[in-house]
Amino acid sequence: MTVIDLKNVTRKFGDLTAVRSVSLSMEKGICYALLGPNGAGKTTLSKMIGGVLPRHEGEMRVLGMDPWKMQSEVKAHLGVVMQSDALDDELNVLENLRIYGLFFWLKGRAFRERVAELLEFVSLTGREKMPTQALSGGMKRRLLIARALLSDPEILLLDEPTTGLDPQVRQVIWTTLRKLMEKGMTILLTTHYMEEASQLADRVGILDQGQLITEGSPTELIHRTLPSCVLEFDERESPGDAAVPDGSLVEHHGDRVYVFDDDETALRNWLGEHGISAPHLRQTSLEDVFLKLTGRGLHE
Amino acid sequence: MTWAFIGAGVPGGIIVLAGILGLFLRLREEGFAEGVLAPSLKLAPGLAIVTGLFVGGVGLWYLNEPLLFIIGLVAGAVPMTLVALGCDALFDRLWPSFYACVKRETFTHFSTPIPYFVLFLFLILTGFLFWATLRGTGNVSVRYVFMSVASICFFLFPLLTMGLFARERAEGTIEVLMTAPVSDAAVTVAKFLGTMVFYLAMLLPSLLYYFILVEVGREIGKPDPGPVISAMLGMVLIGGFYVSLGLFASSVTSSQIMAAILAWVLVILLMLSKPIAEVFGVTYTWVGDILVYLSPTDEHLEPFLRGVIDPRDVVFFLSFTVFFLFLSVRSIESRKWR
Repeated sequence: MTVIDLKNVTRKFGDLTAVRSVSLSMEKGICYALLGPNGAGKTTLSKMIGGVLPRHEGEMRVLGMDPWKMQSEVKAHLGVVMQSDALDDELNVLENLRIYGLFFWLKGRAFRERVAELLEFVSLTGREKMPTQALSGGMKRRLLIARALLSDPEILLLDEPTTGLDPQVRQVIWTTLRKLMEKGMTILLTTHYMEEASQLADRVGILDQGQLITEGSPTELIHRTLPSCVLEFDERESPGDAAVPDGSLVEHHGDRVYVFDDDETALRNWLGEHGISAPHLRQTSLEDVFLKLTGRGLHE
Repeated sequence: MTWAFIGAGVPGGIIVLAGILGLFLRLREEGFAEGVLAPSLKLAPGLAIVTGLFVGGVGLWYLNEPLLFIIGLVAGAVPMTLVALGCDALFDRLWPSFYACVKRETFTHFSTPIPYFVLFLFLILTGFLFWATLRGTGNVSVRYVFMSVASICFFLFPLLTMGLFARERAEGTIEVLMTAPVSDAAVTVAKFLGTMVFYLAMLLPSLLYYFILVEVGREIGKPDPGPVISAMLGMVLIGGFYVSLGLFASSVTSSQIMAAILAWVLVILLMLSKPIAEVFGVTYTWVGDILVYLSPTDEHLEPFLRGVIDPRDVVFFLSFTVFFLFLSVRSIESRKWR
């Protein structure tokens, strides 16, 4: 069942086209990661899907409804975690949840039971009376996830949920999201962490300068775009592009050289022949695909 | 007198019944322990003290009977607390999503420093103006008191309203409202009502001036309570007008300072519209008529302070309040398209 369906969606801010004719569809129960450099249009697209921003062109359906024309109806079925820690600092943990719960008519015994369940789920039990100002960055993100789940949404929109968090906290949040996926939750995740997308996403779409340049499962994208192995080393030790094994693909980025090939043995042999010190031979990752497709220069 | 009792008693009775019903429903829904411990009960001691002091104070003042103070304290505090808590529970039940916005705004006003700073300035300035007017003119008149309160309001209101949208936008908390299933109109009206609750709490102590005037003018006769009631109505209406104007200013920018400056400019322009008409010699033309009509204090508040409730003045304040609320909603919506 298709829960999100976009056809040629375009959004402009003045002269800047933030989202350019994007078409994508998302099935129920999957985790879809929107990857892209800063300013690629991920947040704008996510906000349009959440009914927060209108589109200038194209068709959008979220759970069969137009998210802009039927904002309240669509929002009632969505849980949203935005990029900023949008918590009311004047209120404590429980009061933040209580106010948000009322938006969804959640109160009384049903509210208390749901809050107890969610705080346990995001490991915040016992912190109900804590002022939100006193929470750490990781706790705030977990509280935001709990708040987004209060209404038992059909779709969870996560806009860069782990940006600025340390690796341990990121792992905790990934574990939380995996548990949600096991329960069949549909998740749309925007991120610029490739590892996050590799760990969580069933499907990945790469946005660049407002355009969806490719999409597919992480494995599909890697196989479709680049050979499966990559050898990475310092450019000062490079014997020159002409000397690489036949059929290999060479990329330069800063002072690093990347040689891609499906034949790992050929790469090992070539390495032995040229005596390169401190090489790094590894499997091609989503990050290599991302950099290949969006370019290695700064997008500012 | 009978009509006065009916006029005050019927709506009052309905509010009391609604309150008791709301409280009953909350206790039934949440159980006695949880219902009584609801966060809104935090306001109960404050409500009890304010209402009790007010009702008891009136009794003490008029009848000079200390026992009445105690009776008034209990008689005023208990039903008012019940009514407030019950109404809170009832609104929670009838329209929780909208009421959640109102509560959020009210909490924000009572838990951030700027509104308290505004309250402090308001009380100091009105107190000083009251004292200066009384000392300077020796005139025992409610009109002068509330005129000075109104003139201070115009200066302080932008401080109260500048952050309503601008601060939320700057801090990102506006996302909470934008992603919740509530319309922009509901958010705007909730911000308006939340600020009005704070304003009413700010205005309430001004009534003390009336009792001081009663005491001061004891020998020459008590001031007529009629103008006090009409003046309070006028103050509530002009408060709504200022809040909606400030809300609009806050909706068009992300800078609190810019929002405050814009609100001041708009208010000053409106307040000076009558002198502007006189300076340009257009007082008796249609342009002058419009400019004079737009003057909120001279033309429309003044009758309330004299004890005259003219429906045209009520319509002026209400229509401008609705107009600025409408502009605020349009401003919020139009920003999403830009």
